[in-house]
Amino acid sequence: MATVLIVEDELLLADCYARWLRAEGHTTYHVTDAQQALDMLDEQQVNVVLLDMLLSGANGMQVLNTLQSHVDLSGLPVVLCSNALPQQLPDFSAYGVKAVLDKSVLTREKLGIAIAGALA
Amino acid sequence: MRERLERVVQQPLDGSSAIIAAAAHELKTPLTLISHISQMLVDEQLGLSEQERAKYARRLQLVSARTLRLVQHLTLSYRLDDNKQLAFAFELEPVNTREVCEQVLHELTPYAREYEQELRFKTASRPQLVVANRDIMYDVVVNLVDNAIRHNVPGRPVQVSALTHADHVRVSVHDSGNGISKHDLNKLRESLGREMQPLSGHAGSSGLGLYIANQLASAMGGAIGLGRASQGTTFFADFLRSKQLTLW
Repeated sequence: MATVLIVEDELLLADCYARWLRAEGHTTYHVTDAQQALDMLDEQQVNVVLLDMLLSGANGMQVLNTLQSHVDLSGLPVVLCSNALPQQLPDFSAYGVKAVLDKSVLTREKLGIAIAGALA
Repeated sequence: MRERLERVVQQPLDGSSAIIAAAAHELKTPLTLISHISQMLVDEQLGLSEQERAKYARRLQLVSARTLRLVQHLTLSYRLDDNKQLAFAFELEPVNTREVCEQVLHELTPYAREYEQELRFKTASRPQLVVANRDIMYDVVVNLVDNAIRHNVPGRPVQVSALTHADHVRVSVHDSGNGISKHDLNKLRESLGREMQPLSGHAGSSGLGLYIANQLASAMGGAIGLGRASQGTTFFADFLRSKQLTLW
């Protein structure tokens, strides 16, 4: 089981993802913006980041860039969540992104599979 | 077939297509919430308590109400955008700004509380009458307050005020969110209400709500605009002042 950092500014969605992941036996932390995410990553041991692509203030791309530029965090697996269709998004593989999930059709099972895949 | 599809995808969107694309985008967020909350409510493995179930059911109700408001506004927008004003035929009458604002705040307070926010209203004690259609004016103010709630910082109030000017009454709605960059602010001032302009610092915003609010306000001789704010964002709606004497 893993520790997942949820970066999501819609509190209801974050709550839902946390419940789904905890039901699978994972531990979760939740933050709402890029800076909080970096602070949390400095303080806690995290195995995978579940990142919303659209955040107030800084978007997911900025978070990805920051993670990439951070020596200790550049290998951290990331699962992206977006309301855009996956085919509308650029190729994120160079940023440690293991999966891109379409939020609108996300289920507990799909999220569990994506997190397990990111950890494999 | 594939080439034809690619040509269609690459075509720039005209006015109505842009609205459809923005509407699809704006509806996706609340519908995603409805889908996820529903999944949680029927998932027995999550072990939700009765209290938690009640909380999520209440949220489902609030998000559904917001989605229905958006659909209602899109219907109004379509009627106005397509020069169907005659079929629309709403009546203008003297309307008390204070009553409309208080009704909006009353109805959106449960929604604001879900986001840990408070709605505050400041106005003159005497009635501020405008020439408007009460329902449409309500929709304009709802739109601005709903926009502010979604972009405000939890724990800080959304401030609504109504001030009388020479020929209009201005309803201002201020949020303490990330604000809009100077560059976007100037662009937005130029295009506000005429085209949809996604806002920097306002995640997921397509600008559709402001576009519709301006359409509705303009149909009553008013307009919406962007005020000055050192922190956060202030949008306002101007409504034509009624010269009618009041007995209130």
